[in-house]
Amino acid sequence: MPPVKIVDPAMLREALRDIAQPVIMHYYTSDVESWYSLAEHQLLEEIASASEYITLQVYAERWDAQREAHVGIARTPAIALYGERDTGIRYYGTPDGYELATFLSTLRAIAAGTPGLRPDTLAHLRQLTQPVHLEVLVSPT
Amino acid sequence: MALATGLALANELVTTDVIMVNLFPYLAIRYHADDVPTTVVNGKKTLVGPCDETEAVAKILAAVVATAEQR
Repeated sequence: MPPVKIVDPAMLREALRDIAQPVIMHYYTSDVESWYSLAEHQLLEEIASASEYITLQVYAERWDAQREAHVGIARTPAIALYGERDTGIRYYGTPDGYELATFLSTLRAIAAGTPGLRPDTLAHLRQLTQPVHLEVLVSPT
Repeated sequence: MALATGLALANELVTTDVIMVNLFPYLAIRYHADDVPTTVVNGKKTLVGPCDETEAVAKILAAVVATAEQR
């Protein structure tokens, strides 16, 4: 593991202190370790350590197309997020830098069961009848 | 980006991938994503840069209709 803490534990505890329902992070990564995967793994461990309601499950295995299709991931490393249900949210790559705050916000929203959207947006969403797949390309820096 | 994850939380028909382009640069090339965030809807590049929730939802829903018609 990298010898230093990735983020300030006190900051993480503060950011996640209102979480009161379970959130599970399923982390899929290669069975061959790299500096990148170790750092990502450590960051997720630190996040999970910051709240008793957050659980991390690690799958460091070779690519299994059948399993990945079932889980709904297209590549690794991937983080699949679950609350009361499979949220359909997948993170590809480490949500650090600018993306850490939004990742923590997503964990809070999953736990709270509130998407944080406006009423008119929710009304539009209720009209959906077919699957919608969103891919948001972001940068941590 | 919080909007995209919020949409997935609000409706099970929506799935959202948040992709760090530094790790997967080939996706930026595939979608001609010159800026971040770039939002792709059912394989169609739809939003570039941050924008208002109302505008974003309107464009996303329009892209859903457009991509369905192309199938």
